[in-house]
Amino acid sequence: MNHILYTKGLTKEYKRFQKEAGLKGSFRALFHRTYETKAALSDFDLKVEEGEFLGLIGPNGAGKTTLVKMLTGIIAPTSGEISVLGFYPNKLENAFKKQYAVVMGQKSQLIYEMTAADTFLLFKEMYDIPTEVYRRNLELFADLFDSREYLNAQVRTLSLGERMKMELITSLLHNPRVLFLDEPTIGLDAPAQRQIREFLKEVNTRNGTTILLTSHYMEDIRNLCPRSVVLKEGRKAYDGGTEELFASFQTHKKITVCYEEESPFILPQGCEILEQNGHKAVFLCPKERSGSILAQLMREIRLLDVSVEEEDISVVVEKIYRSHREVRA
Amino acid sequence: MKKYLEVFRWSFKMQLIWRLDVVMTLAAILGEIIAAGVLWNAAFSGRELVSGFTFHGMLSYYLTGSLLVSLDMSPRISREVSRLIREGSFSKHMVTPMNPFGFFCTKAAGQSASRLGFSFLAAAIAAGLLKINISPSWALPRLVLGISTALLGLLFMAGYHYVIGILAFRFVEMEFFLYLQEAILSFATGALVPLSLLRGPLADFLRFLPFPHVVFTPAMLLTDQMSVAEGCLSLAVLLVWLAAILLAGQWLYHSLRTRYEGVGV
Repeated sequence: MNHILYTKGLTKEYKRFQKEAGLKGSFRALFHRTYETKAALSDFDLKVEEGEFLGLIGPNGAGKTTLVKMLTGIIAPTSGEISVLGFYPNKLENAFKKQYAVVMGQKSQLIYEMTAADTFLLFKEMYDIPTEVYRRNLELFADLFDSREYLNAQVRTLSLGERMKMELITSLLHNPRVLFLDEPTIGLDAPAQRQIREFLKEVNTRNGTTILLTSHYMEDIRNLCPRSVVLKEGRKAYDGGTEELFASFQTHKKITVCYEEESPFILPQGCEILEQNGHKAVFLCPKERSGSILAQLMREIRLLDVSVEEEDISVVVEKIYRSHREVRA
Repeated sequence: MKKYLEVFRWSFKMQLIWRLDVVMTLAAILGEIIAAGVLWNAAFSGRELVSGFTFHGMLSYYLTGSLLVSLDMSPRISREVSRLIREGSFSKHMVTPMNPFGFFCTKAAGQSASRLGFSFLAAAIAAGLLKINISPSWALPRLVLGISTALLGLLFMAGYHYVIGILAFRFVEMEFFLYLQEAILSFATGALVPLSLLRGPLADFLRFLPFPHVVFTPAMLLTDQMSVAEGCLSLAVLLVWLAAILLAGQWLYHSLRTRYEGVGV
């Protein structure tokens, strides 16, 4: 099978300058520098097929952004093999650059003093986009985002969410085959996050664009990416289905029970209490025992209300990040 | 080519957005010329000639030189490129299908073009206020030579500042160096004083550097104070330097960026 993205044994090491604290340390460092070599990414293998929507997750410093930088050619790997769309990225050939786009949540492509429409015109020429394709794409994306009203507003006057929508439109005008997204929903409110998720889903299914998404918001990953790769300390800890990943760590259910005050609530065995007062208790119970525990509670106390939820996604993410076990699929 | 034209166009448009900036640009150019007029007036008091220059010859030189200096937007290139590299935002110029030097050079050209009108206006006002009797050379060879040298000089400066900016890939912090080289450049280009005031080995040495041919040579040619033969020699020197700096820029970019670690930014 032809892979649109391929890496084998990919490694990136860098030197980090170290200095003792204080004035003395600063003077000493002027004459004698010490460096430590750190591996940002080690022995990383990845194969991605055309049209996939892949999530890249991991704690800060896990190597996600370093990987995106290597895949887009911004930095060169220290060792290993890498191929994106059949190119060696760090050669930065124009033929390669015309086939992908990258959006980094904290780095803007937009020209702040001008309108978004001015940036679009610049990108039209930069990528040699035929006028017809440009118009069609602009209309489509502006409709998907319902954003016609701020195409002609000065970029610096747009809100963070509006600006991110304009960033995404800019990056997609030339119909890239691969889209790299590094934290595209960072700092956005819930409605803007949802709109961006829907937009990306549409782009992936309608255009068949391969998308590689890094995000700390697990809602993004869970909603968009059928496949996820977990990075920990520069190494791949998991590569497989996103639902399977969550299922393997979502081992508990959160049960909330409200009961009449005189009823005595006794925590069932094997459960962990999260919150309790005179008439309400919230606890975690093993997923496979949730049915029997509920039945037991209904027999023992007079329940007024019950709710059973999946374990908080943030707790699951913490478990994934902290886990020492290999969860390779 | 169309992409560079579009960069030129938005860069030009961007200069016209902030009205206060436009007014202040005009005022700064005017202020500089008037200050120089006052100083040279004092220097010439009771004297007909200073190092072969008449008062009006000196002010004509200074006026033309100021016009050229005001069009040189290249110092912004080194500052912007080094800042972008330091902050990690230069990557956006690496991932788009456009040569970064072409982008920054065209951007500077757009800024220069938008300044052209204001600079001419400021020069005309200053000439009127100081009663400078400008006598530009209308002889075609001299005019063509002067304008060509000025344009190639601006291109050279863009290349030079791009190289300085790109060095941030290696040295990261460049502020002190940028200040230092700007001070040296304002002297070496002849923006402060005409370089013909200098004598001896320093003058001979400077002649073979590119910098005097950025302001001094075109200003002297356009004000009819340098021979065409001398102008041709200067142009040849400038062309050699231009080719060298453009090649150095491309080579440095490719060699430094591949070694750039870029982690943490």
